[in-house]
Amino acid sequence: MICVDKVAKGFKAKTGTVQAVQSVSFSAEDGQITGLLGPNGAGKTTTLRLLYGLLRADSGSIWVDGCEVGSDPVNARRRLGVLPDTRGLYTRLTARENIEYFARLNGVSVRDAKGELDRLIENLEMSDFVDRRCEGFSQGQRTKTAIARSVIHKPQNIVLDEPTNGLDVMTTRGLRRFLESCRAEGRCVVLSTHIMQEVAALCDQVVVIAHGSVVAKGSLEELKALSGQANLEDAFVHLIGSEEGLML
Amino acid sequence: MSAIITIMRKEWLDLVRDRRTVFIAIVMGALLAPALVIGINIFAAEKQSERYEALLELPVVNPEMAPNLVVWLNQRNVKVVPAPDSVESAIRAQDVDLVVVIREDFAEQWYAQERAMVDVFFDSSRESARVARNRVAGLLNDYSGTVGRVRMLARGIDPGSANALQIVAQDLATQKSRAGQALAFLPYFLILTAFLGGAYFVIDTTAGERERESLESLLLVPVPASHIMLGKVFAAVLFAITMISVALVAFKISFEFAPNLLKEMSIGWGSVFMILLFLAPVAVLGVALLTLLSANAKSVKEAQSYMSMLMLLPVLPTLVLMINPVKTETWMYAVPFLSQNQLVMAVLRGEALSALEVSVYLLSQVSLVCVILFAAAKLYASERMALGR
Repeated sequence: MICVDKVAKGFKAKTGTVQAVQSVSFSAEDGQITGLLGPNGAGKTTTLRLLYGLLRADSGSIWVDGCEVGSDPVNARRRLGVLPDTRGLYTRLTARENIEYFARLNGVSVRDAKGELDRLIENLEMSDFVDRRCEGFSQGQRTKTAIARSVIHKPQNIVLDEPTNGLDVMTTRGLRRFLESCRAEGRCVVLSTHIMQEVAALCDQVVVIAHGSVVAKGSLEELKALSGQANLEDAFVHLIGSEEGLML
Repeated sequence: MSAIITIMRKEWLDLVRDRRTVFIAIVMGALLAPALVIGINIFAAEKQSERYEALLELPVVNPEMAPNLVVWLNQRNVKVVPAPDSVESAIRAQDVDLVVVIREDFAEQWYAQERAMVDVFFDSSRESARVARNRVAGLLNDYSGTVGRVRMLARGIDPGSANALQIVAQDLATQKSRAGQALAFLPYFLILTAFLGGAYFVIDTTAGERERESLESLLLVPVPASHIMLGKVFAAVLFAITMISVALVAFKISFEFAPNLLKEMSIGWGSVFMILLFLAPVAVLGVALLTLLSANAKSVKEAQSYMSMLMLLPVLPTLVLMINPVKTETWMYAVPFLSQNQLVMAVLRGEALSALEVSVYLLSQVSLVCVILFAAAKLYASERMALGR
């Protein structure tokens, strides 16, 4: 379970401070998929980077299974599996070696990770490239490998930043099945996206973010009621106030 | 602790799979040493030919004006040959090293017992002409002195009274010390190899990893950032020490095959090992410094731009000593690069080192490395490390 409580983050720029995140609060429950929806530049990636402790929040706090990220990042990360915005792999290593490296760094021996690795290879359909070096992988193969390395240690909480970016339909469907299986196992899944369909297809909870602030949150039905729109897409556009930066 | 070893092993595997880079680094290190030793070998050979006085072909303009001089030169292993038409252009085109011109009024002045004029044309910026120039100058001076003395005798004057001083040069340089002089570059070369041997590796695994966008994931594992840094540092130090070992072994072997450098100049395996031990701290220092710089750099390009500056760093203390020479003192063993220079030279010359000097050296190096690594670890844990800005 992840709790985000009134976090804010600004970056110093030549023209003054850019407030990427004004004030964001939400909680993501176990056994649910929580979606952060917002247009490009709304502050989703910054919010997630604060969540997994890559950046320090200027104010507010974040808790992962009771561990405060700011004061105890190592223990918080132990409970997290993260697919960040950047998905670089080690191109001179095979996909399997990439994943095993991250298993070891998370304190899981290669032998103990074997079962989970086999399951991920099957679920994410990686068997035809898992023993190839990552040099020249397609975007889909890269993303699948990056997802596998981020969850190889079976974390209770999974955070994914725009996971379906650049994936084809088949791969996207495979990824959705995988996330649904995580939900069924009672894990807490948080993903960010600017694609409304994805939210509609996957999420139990939606947090709508615009201009660095939460503008609405709740289940799909609650959001429709809140905006007074019958259609989900209209509801989102109404809540954000503009169609700009969103995708169907 | 196990995370440090995991990172070290992975970085090493990643590097070793980059076959071409490793091959170039190792082969260059291994080939450069023999090339330098062979160069010194040729330098020593040139010194010898100067002594042996091989036949010198000397172009002379107007040799018929001074037949006695020509005969005298011919008796001293110099073969007088016809001069080229244009003296200046022949020297510029490097067709000849130097040309002697007997002036038109030479005979007239000679018989009047005035000083007869002889021009020697050469280009002093050409190192290859140095030997011939020295020989010709020496021969002409001898001839001038000999004839002058004969003239004084003919007038009943003791020729010795013309020279208030008789200077006899007694060169005590041995072939070994001459080789040592030529090998003055050796410590610098070895220190530089140790200092920057791991540079490529460090830049690639810090700024390079950030540019390839895999750093964010690495920084998210439940391991303190300082441990991630140490894993990378250890792998790079191992690589730098491999490089320096290859260079040292290559030097050791090429000395065996350099006939002009005396056998005594060649160093034993014990000394090779000693030098390796003294250079290992430089490798750690170089890796630590580059870790700090490239963690702070925005890009690989910026990190690489520090390299030319770092290359000069090992020369600085040596330069200062050249301008302001002082006797070796204990404090010098605490100055980076200066200390290694003294230590390597001491081993090469076979001098004994005191325990105090060695402990001053080790202690100063360890504390310097700790300070740098501490700063680098702080940087590794910062937002700047992950974002590169």
